[in-house]
Amino acid sequence: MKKIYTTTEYKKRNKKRAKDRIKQTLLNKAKAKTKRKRLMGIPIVLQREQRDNDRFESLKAPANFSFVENTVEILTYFETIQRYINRRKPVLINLKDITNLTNDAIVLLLAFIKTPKITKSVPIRGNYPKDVILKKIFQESGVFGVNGNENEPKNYILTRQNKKAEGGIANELIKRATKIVFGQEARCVGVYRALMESMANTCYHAKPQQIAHETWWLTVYHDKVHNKVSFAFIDLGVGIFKSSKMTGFREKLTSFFGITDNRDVLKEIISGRKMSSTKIPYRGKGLPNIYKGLERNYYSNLKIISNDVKADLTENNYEKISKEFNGTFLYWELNNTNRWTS
Amino acid sequence: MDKLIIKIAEDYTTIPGVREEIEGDFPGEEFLEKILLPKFKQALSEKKKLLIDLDGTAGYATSFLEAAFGGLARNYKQAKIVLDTLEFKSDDDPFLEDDITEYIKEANDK
Repeated sequence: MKKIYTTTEYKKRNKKRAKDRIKQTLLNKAKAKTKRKRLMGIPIVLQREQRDNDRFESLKAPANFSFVENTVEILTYFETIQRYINRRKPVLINLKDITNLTNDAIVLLLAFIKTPKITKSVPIRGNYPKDVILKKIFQESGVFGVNGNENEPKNYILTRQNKKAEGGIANELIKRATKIVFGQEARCVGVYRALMESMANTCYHAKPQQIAHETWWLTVYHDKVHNKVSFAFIDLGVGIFKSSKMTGFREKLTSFFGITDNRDVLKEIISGRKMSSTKIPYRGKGLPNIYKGLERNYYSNLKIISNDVKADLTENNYEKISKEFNGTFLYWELNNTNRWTS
Repeated sequence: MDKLIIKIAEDYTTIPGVREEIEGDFPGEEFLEKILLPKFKQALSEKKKLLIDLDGTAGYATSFLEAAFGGLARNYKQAKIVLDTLEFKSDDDPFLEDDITEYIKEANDK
């Protein structure tokens, strides 16, 4: 039967439909206009990049982006990133609004995003801080892999990575650091020892058969204002207290002295006070000797973060942290009051 | 009395490594095996002192020193013979001699 389009019911419905359509069209036009205005003057490449970034979950970094100063918040931030990665959601590390940045956080970020077993092939991106100086430090660190020309002089920060203890790398970094601090290339036998011990410690994983499987990361940062060079060393292994080297020593500490708190374990390791009855095996002398380097004024401001302990060895301050850090972090500074050899 | 001499910077390397070869280049165990032990045996047979010149390198990891000198003491199962035969020169690092002596003395402790 032929449809009668002149009925009131039809006219009413048609009118409503037309009204809705025109409303939607206008709305779309307005939206398009706003979008056009927003993108006006922005190069097409950047527009594409922006569209691409929208796929990523933007995770705002803590304003104080310093692992040493703001340990728990930084660890919480990395835990959040890890949660998104585990859900296979691409992540954008949003550093735009950070107000403080130290090389220890850079080395942690580097180790984190460049370790395949952590990132699990999930795309990770990052943006640079708004602050010009912080941006420059970040760009030179090469964290997000866009540090441009490799030959470009990097005045602020140097990064190195390896699985083995590399004397050549330690020596090269010391030469550069001493040129800055003492005005000439020099040797710092204490810094060399600390670097080599740190690298060697990384080689020993929880399982002895996994020697030299873990990668270590090192950044050396020149603080021009205070004329000092800071060394930040990290590995994302198992941490000091879960290392295969420590198992026997820990058991003895517990059975002889009832020590279970990792802060006390670290104190025992570095002081060597009770070594006669709970002897560290001859392989475990690295950490005590890194501490000796501080006592002998080979470097200053030594800090260690591992598992649930954060220690400022210069201030003799041992803190239990609420977030577990599965790895070992060592930090020290070289300034013109420290020992050196020409 | 005549002395035998090992100058590590010239006879081995200026960038000593750590303990074992698997951990990196120029390890203490290699230094012990290839340089220190043969020279030490020679010193004993010729009843001479063995001077270890530690200067001129970038530095030493504890594990290198322990593997080399502690390893030597373990090899002879006693510290005395090693301490009586070795002499050290270390102007770059004044603490080094005491450290090495400690490693030698503790090498055979269980």
